[in-house]
Amino acid sequence: MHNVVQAQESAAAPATAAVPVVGIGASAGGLEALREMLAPARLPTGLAFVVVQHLDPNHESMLAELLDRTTGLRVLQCAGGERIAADTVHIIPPGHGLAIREGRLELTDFQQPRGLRRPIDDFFQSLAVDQQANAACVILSGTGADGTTGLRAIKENGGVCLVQQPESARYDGMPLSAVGTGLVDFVKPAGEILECIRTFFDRRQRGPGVVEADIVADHVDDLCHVLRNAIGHDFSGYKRSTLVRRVERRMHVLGLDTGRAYLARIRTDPRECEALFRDLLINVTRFFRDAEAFEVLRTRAIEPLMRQRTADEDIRVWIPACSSGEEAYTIAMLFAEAARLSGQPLAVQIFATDIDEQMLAIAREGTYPASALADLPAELRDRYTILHAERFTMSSAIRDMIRFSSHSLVKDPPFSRIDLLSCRNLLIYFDDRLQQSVVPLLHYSVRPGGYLFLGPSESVSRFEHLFRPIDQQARLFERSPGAPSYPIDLPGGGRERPLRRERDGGVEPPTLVNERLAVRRLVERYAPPSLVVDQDGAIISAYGKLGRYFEFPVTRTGGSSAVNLARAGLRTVIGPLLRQARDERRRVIARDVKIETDYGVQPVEVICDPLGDGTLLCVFRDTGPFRPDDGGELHDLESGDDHFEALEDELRLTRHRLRSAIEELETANEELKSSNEEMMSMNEELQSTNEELSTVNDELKSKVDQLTVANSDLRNFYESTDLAVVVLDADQRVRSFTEAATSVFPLKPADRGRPLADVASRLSGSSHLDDARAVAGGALPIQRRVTTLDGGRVFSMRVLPYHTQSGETDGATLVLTEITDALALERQLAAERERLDLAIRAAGIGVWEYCPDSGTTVLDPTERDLLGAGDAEMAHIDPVLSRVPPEDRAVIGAALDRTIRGEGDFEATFRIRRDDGAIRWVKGIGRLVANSEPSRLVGVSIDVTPEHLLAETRDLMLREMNHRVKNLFAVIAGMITIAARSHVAVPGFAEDIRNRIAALGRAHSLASPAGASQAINLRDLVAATLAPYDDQGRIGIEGPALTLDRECLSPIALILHEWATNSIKYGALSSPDAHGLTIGWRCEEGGVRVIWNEECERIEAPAAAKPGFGSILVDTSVRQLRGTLTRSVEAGRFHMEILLPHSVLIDE
Amino acid sequence: MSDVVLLVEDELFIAMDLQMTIEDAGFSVEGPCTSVSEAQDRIDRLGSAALAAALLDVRLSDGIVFPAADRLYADGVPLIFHSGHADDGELRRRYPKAQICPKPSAPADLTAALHHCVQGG
Repeated sequence: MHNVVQAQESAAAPATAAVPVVGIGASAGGLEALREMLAPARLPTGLAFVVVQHLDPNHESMLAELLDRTTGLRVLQCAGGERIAADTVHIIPPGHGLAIREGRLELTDFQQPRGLRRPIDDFFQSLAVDQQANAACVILSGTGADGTTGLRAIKENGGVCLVQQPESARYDGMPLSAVGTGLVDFVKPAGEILECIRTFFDRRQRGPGVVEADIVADHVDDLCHVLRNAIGHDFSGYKRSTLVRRVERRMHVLGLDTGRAYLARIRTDPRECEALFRDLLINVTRFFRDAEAFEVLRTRAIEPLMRQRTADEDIRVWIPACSSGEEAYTIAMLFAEAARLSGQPLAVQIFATDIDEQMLAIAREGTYPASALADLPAELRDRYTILHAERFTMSSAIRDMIRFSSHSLVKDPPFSRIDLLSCRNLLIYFDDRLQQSVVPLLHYSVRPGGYLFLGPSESVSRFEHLFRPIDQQARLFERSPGAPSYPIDLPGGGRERPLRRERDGGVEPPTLVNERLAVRRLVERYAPPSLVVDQDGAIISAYGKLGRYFEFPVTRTGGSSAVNLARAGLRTVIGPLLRQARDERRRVIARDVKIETDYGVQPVEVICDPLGDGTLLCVFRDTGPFRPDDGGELHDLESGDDHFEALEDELRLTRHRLRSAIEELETANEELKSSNEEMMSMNEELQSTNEELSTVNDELKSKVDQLTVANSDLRNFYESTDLAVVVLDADQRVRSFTEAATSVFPLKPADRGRPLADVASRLSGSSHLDDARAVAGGALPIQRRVTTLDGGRVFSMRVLPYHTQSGETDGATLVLTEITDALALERQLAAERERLDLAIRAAGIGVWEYCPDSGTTVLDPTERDLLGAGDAEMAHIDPVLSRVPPEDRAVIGAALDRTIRGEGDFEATFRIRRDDGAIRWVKGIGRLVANSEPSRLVGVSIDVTPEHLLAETRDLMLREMNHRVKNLFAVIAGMITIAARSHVAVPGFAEDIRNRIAALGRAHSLASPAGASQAINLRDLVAATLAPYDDQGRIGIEGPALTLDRECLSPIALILHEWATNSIKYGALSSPDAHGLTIGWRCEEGGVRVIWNEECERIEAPAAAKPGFGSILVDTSVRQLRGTLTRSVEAGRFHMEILLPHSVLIDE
Repeated sequence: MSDVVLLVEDELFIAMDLQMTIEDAGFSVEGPCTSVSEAQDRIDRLGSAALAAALLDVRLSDGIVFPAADRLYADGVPLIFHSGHADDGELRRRYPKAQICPKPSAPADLTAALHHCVQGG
């Protein structure tokens, strides 16, 4: 059927929104082609890819891995169930077929043996059904023809098809086979395919403009004209809309925008003509298409035909435009089933014809995808098909009923005496004019009472008188009775000649055409019937009604020899007549020829006129009236020439023999064909094995390249590394070693394979051998420190198991890392660290670390002790801060903030309350760790409590001193004031004052300068105050050790000074050698009693006078001390006692 | 108008000197008191109204003079502090109206302070 399926085209519109799926079929040489094709991919492509490559089922494929390196697209080996995704390459896994359903990939199992599998076809077919116009297929390098059938499916469903340029493919079998279909849209080098697909889908999504379509319509006539010239088939009678759509599709493929450009293209490019032809013939058909109509056909036509059949006649069925044969097989099965049920022999001949040889080839093969089985009723399915997993074949009984041949309904003479003519879905593609020429033709073909079966939207239109409807719904018609009129002027006939002329001589003037018509009309109607034959008697042309003279064939197969076709009577004459005319090149006439027909005898004369170009014109002229058959005539014939009869008998015999010889030949031919097929399939198998091998070979080659690189990497590593590595096998034999290893084991390249134990070793001991044995035997990796024999070098030796790719342990690897220097460094570091630790410990420095983000802290033991923090509190700063008084906490916070901001190092001095309640002063110094994430502070803390106490004391002291000094100034000022009242002469006054100040100074020297003690020893005070007067040790000082409050110092010193001054002036000290002064003290009930006793002759009783300044001083001082003074003066004795209260004492 | 000045000073020599200065300035002296308790007793006995002014040392043998000073200050007795303390900030804060004569003071300064008290009321 020459079909353009409108439904599919409209279905393509919404599908364009989806990601177009590109199926890629490849076989031998496919890896290279795939790389070339996918390498230029620029993301996003907006396309999804599925690669179907013939793969060795027993071999893991590296295809995905290899492809992934060359393309920017994502490459996945398919595991089944994946949804097709844009910019992704899905790759078939080995040992499985691939199908796509609703955008999801499915793995299928192969049913056929290796060699007969056609995974590419299978996938393309499922792709075509699933994705319709959204599908594209690409066929790359490979031998065989896989993909060619699938490609057709893609095209049928409106997809696009690309093939790698055969010249550029490593193996051109598959591309050539694909190109051979003529259905391929693009033939490109692999590297350009991707861009081509992109452009195609881009253009398709844009869609054609209305204006453009109009332009195409304008050129359809010219296009048909060109096609007719080039291909020999005339599509001018086809429906315009269909033609325009098909042409537009071709224009998308070619990237042409105007009909004019396409016309120019098709004129100059015969290949494009062929492509358009193929596209116009795109076929869609199926078994039992319109099942109800076939049911009507069965009950109303087929079964009656079987019943009415005469015993010795075959039922003749003609199916023009049979396409890939489904319709023919459907009808064949119906007949077979009817014959089976009615118990009649199956005497049915089915002629199935089409103009597309490729379709016919498929039809002859009778093999269809298993999916089509669904269209068949179950009982037919089981009886008439043979299932081979993915595909099924029609049984030979059915196949033998059908003869497929190339035949154009429009162009070639029709079959005749047909019982059933099924011409479905062909007329709809013809325009009215063509339909009207074809229907009478059908009428001619079908015998009276025969049946015509049309497609659901077809009708016999104006020719209802020719065909009477039996079932209007099913479009089943019965041919009305009436003489068949042989339409010698076939609708498409008679064009060959004018066409040739057109080619030669350009445009024919219209007058000539008219004349030709006139001549033709003359010949048809008014001239005697005539024939043009060639030298061998084959009919070239026929004019007029020749039916009376010739038996015209029901098929073309009977040949067109005028001699063979001539009716009895003429047959005997015409042969010699032609021969004579040909040989003599003269007009020859045979008179009185009696032509015997089935109904009677016609006397004629036959003129044979050589036309000069080797052909002969035969003209038949009736010489008398037609004599109907009667007994007498029969008698005449019988009494005819015996010689003729004998000849005819002989001829019949010869023919019979010839037929059987032909049959034998045909049988032999069949056998040869079948063995040929067997050979072909073996060849296929070998080819596909070859393909698989070459794919494996490609993959291995790539792998070898990679291994070479890896190996060279490894060698470079072995030679350059400082690691001493020795690889041992399971028997401790050296497998390989690095250059560095030779410094430990003096290995030579020749030592590979020697047991390591046999190789000299610079290591002390043989522990490495034991370890290697243990690890090779399955022990865990061992790490150990080994030294050389002289002890000069130390190595860290790791013994690791050597794992093979499968994960088994096969030997051991010894890795020796020299750590001599590292050890030395380590020791040095340890010493350094120890020193540092010692210093830190000695200084009582605590080390801390603080992370501001989390608030966590790390404290060393000293720090913890310093902060009085328990172990639990060391982890966070909060418990630490809680021990700090709030005002210091603010100080710490501010310092931390400043440091975190990077404005300087951390430094803060703060108090911390320890658990025992003691307050400790701590000084913390820290720094932000550079480049640390999260930021960290590290620092130290020192206990500064003693320093702080010292400073506090110093402050206190200073204040105290200040106060005392000022007090002293005030005391001196007071003394001056008082003294000024009792002195008149300045020198005496000055001396008095100076002495008193000196006495005070001496007394004050006793006061501890540090002020640590407030206590003053009384003895020291007395001795110090009296020291200037005791140069000769004349003063007796006696008393228990007593300590007095510092406050008492000034008053006592002043009192003692006054008394001593008096004594020098008037008493015991006045004479240089006097010894009468004793000072003593004792503790008693009321306090401390100080006794001053002077005994001296010079002492006189004092005159009662106004008390002097001295006594005011003494009184005031005593009062200050809250003491009581007892004074007694008598001649020669001066005695004074002061009772000081206990409060002056300090208890020690 | 009373001319009695309460003198509180624990160092007797200084007290004597101050007493003389006060008396030279034309006032009579109550005291000298050498301790806070003594000063308190004396105030109890005399009453604040009897006092024209008070000349007070800050640190006494039994503590700081503040309890007595507070009382006097509250009663409106003009105060003159005679202090050896380097820092008189606390005094100024506590008794904004009081006068402070750092120890030792020249008799003229003290005299001027006394007169200021009497005149300033």
